[in-house]
Amino acid sequence: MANLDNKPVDGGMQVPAKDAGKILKKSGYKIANNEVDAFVSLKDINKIYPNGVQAVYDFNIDISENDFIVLVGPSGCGKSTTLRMIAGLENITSGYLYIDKVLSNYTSSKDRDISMVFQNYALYPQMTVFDNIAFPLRARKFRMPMEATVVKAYNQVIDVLDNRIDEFKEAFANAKDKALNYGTTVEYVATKMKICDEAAKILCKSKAASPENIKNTAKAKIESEINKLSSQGYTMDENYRLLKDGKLQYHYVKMSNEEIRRRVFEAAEILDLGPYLDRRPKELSGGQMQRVALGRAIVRNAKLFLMDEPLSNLDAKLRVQMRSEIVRIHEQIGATTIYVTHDQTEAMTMATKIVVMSKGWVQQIGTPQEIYYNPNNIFVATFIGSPAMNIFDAEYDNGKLIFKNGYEISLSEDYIERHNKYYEAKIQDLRRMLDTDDFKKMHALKVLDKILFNLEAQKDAYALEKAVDDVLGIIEGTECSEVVKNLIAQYKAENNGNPKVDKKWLLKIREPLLTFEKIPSRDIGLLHNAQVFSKEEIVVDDTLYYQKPKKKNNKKNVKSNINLNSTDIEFINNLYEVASNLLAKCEKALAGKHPIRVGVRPEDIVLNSEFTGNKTEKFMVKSNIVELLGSELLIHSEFADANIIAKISTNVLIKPHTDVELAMNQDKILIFDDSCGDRI
Amino acid sequence: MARNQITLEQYIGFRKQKEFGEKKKVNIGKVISFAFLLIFCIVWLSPFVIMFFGSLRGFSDTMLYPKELFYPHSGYTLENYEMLLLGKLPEGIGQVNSVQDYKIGTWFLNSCFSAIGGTVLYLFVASLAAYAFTFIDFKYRNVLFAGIIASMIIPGAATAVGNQSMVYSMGLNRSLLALIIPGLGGVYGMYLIKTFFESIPKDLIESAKMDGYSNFKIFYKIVLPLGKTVLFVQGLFGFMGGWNDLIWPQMLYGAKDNDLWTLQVGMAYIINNSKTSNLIGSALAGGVICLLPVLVMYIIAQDKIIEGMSSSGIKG
Repeated sequence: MANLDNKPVDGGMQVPAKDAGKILKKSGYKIANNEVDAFVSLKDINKIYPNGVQAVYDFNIDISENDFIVLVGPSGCGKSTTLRMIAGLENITSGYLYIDKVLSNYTSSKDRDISMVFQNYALYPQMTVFDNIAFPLRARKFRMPMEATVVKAYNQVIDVLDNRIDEFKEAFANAKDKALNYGTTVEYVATKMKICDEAAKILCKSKAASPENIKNTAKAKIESEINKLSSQGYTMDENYRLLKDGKLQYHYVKMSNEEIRRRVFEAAEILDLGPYLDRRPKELSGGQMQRVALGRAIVRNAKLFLMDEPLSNLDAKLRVQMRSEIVRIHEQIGATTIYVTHDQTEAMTMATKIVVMSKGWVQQIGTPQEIYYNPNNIFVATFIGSPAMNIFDAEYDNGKLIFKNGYEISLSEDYIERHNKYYEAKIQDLRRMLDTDDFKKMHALKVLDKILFNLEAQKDAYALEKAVDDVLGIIEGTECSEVVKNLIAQYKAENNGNPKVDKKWLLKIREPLLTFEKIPSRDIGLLHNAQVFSKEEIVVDDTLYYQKPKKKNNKKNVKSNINLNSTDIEFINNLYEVASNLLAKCEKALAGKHPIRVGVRPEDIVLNSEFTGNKTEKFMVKSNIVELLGSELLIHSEFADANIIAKISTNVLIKPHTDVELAMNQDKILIFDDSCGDRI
Repeated sequence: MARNQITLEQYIGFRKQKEFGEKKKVNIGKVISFAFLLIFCIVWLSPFVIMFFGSLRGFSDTMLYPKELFYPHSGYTLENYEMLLLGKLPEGIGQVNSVQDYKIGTWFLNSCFSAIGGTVLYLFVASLAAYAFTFIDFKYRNVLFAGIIASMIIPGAATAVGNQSMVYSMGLNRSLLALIIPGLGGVYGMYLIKTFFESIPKDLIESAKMDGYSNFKIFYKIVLPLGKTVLFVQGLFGFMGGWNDLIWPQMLYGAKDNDLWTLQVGMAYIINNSKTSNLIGSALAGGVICLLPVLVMYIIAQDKIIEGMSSSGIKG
């Protein structure tokens, strides 16, 4: 327990390697980073499972106090893994996690001061609701001011006997019937009279039969106790807390039963669990079990709450009810909360900040409004919002969007400028990326491997020699080129100036090309999106450059080791190809006509006759299915080779299989890049 | 509707009901299987019946079996039990060539010590191991577990000699602890308990860990209360195994003085000494004495055994 008192040392401090251990031990292995402002901060968190699957890539987020963060994404996107890493239930492969400015990567989950609500509640079936909620409180010792408990108890006894003796007698008489929720008679009396357990015990034992006698012994006891304390150098303030030299004294003690009762009742009151405290989880309904799980989390006053899809086991109506309940509790308690869900409605309604994830990558972090109105890319746009956004394939031609059926929308000057700027920036970015050493090496590898894994070409000595020249040309100017040149010189010296290029030698050249420095995660993320969200099937499968199990030796792809925060990740090297393809597409896009994707939210497709704002040209569709949701109508139909859903108010009743005249809200149209899915 | 009248809708229902009610035809298949089972039941029970009644007959009646199995002509007597428990030989029994005294009380206590003590200790050790294998993630866990499971294929008798020399070299050659200690490494019970522990949701343990409970506290506050049915079943198996074990105590103490014998070793000695016709009754009485504690325990705990077996998926 002692290490709780230690002050953390600054993690950025530079110390000699041999002293580092000592300094850490002195501080109880606590490291702080004062440059971190946020309450919880995740920096470049990666998670790679032992079987080689990477679940989370470079997760970065700063969470300030009292935030309600929702991690949302389709199943398997790494959101639960992230939460479990914060909780300390999974190891963090690389990156830094700061909780309250303390580096928490290596602290055990019990020392992180967090509480968690699990998906299936994790209630202990053998305990009552009361014991379940009290369970976290009984786990450890807490830092409490020292108290003169004996003095307090006897003072309370005297007070009760003097002023409230009738009240006590009534409580004592009722105890047998009502003690059910409270355990024993003593506990009931103590709670009812608001006195401590010891006082209640003394009173119940004597049944307050002869008040004078009790008072006399009490006074004697108080006096002897005070004498004992003062001989040890303690003094006492009005709340019976002990002072030494005018300072409050603290010690680590187990929480007393009365404190546990007080806290559990408080939590039960917040959650309306009063009548169920003596039941077992088996006898509760799903919603009640959920609330018990919440109660167990809030009773400890932890700094950080983690919730792992807590509502997914409830039925639809209860889910809505519990949703508002959780928001209410969050407002009441104000604890920082991280909440994981796959339900975008939950995310939109509860969060102060949403983190949208896909396949281990963070796609966007922002408030619900931001995410909804300004989605970063096509994934966020279609994932958030119900019904999902309508996506059309179209062509962009000089400020005009031409749909597949010839329908045209002319864009405002604003849009055109933004479009051009977007592609210019992208091209610049990609050129910079391709100019880095790592990408040059990948390019060289690609050229080399074309020869190496082609048996026909290997017979041709000229082609081999040309490949070496090509490689040298590509890696010109990188650190690696010196190494390769040296290798060539060495080889020539060995073979007495009569070099014959063969496969063995090429493999030797290949070795230095395989050492990569760190490619910035932002770049990898961009290329990842370019693969996953692009419509063109340039990729074999979308996990192409994820880390693969080492044993799976797929000879078609070149494999290489990348040193990413000292973790060996095997990359399958098509990053270069993706980047160069993307660059070519962007350049083409800036030149003229090119495919593009248009997104329109269902509520922005409007009835032409009703909408009076800035709208596009009207178009006719045939309604296939019409769903009446009470206040709104959902019209499913087909337009420009795509299924569209329009959400309109029920002022006009539209029947299925009729022609409807629709238009789009011009201001709300979103345009996405076809090649990498980013919003323009 | 008038009285005694009925709609056809109601009538067809009544008729169907009646038909179902009357369908009490004699099912020949059932009768045959029942008879079959009854025969087997009798075959299996008869040794116990013979043992029980045989133990109540005097030494002069023993050869009149099976004619006077239930009604011995000289009446029931407890002389066999007196001979075993009190060492009082009936008159006229002739020569009894036993070298050692019968110390049924001591043997009984030894058996209790070995069976109960061994069971309790084994449950403690095995459930801790099962907890570790289920909930703690340590290096080479799966390899270790596979090795332990693989050791199950070695029959117990094969390791008995090795165990004996090891126990002797530990200096336990005159201690009852030697009965218990080699059994603590048993795998079957640990495997059984582990299988049950695996059905406990991991969330419970993770949640408790986050609250700050240590592994040992989680073990006795959460895992043990939830796993008590399987512990009960394994406890019963262990008790029966310990109580009925003959080979191991015989190997250890069979040639030594009889203060260290268990009931089973003693019983083997009694049976060995009862080869003459007039002493068969005493051997049968010894069998009853051996059987009684287990039978009583089984009857007391019957409900719990069935509950535990069904919940831990064991076929009894």
